[in-house]
Amino acid sequence: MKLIIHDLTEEQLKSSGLDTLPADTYRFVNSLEIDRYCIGCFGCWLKTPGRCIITDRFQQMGELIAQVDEVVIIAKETFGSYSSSVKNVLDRSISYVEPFFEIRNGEMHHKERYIKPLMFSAVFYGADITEAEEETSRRLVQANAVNLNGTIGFVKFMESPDMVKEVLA
Amino acid sequence: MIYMINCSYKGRTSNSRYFLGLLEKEIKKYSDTECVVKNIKNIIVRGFDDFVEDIKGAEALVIGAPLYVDGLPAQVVKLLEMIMERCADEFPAIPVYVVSNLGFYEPQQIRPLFDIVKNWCDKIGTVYGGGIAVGAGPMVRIIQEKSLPAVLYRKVDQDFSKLAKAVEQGQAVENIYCSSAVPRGVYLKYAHKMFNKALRENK
Repeated sequence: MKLIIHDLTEEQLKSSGLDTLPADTYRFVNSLEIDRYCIGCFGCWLKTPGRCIITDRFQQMGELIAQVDEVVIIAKETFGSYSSSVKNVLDRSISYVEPFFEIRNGEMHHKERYIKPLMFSAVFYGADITEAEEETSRRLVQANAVNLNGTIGFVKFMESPDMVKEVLA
Repeated sequence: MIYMINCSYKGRTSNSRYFLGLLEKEIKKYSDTECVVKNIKNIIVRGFDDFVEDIKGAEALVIGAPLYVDGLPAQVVKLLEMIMERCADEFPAIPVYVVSNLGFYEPQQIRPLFDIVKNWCDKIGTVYGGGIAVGAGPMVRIIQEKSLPAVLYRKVDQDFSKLAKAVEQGQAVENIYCSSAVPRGVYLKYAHKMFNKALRENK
């Protein structure tokens, strides 16, 4: 099972053909539906471990990620970051890991809450992506994969989300 | 006027606000320049137009933000998007600095965050002035607030002083990576003790 976290409108989902992907293989999280930011309270680590204290549909993002083999981000390239809405979903997903630290490859990272392999991939789209933005985005995805104790699948850049489906095929 | 934004939704109790305060204190050693600190929530929810007007009178912008999931918190990306979409043409060409802290011990893990702000500066045509990253930020704050031996945080103070001089003079500096003199293993054990205590108290 793959989890697609995206910032596409219904119209973009249709024009890209992503809406025809089989439901038994792909689950979707539309970041445009999120409107509450992570408040940095550590509640999902210390008060209700594994679950965000904000009671909306993004409360159990950590558990949702634990149910899939691969997370695929589809986001507008935003200065080397994901768009704010996609980043918001990721910020609200930190319950996927534990607050506790461990040293991996000489660096401090969070311990896994769910002992399982996870692949992390990303597609950035946008009309005027600079080389510096590409480099930063690659570094960001790499850091995310390391901190989730996963592996990188792919990192792609394209002008329009209409071509995303070809990457997923 | 130096315009500082506390980008943590924890507000005035946040580590981001604390480290902006450290920078403010150092700047005041060198000049009488006024430092204004605003919360990002107020800017992006209801005060964006006021922000756009106020920033035109600023000599520098300082973004105070924690590391969230290896990058800028979503609310900061939102602010950068809003500026790009609504007022990039009228945004002043002032230096933009970053004060950031993270729970990980190694401050170098902040690098994508600095690069994102720099990329934004390049796109809107303003100047990236450099940033300071404080590794094991929560511990550095505790050590300073409890007035533990200064040797444990002297380097942090020196690095904030270096950035303060640059901000006050409107000059760019290389990104600064600092942390306390407390060994990584000690910090890790202390953090775990605190986490376990909080978990026990919530049972």
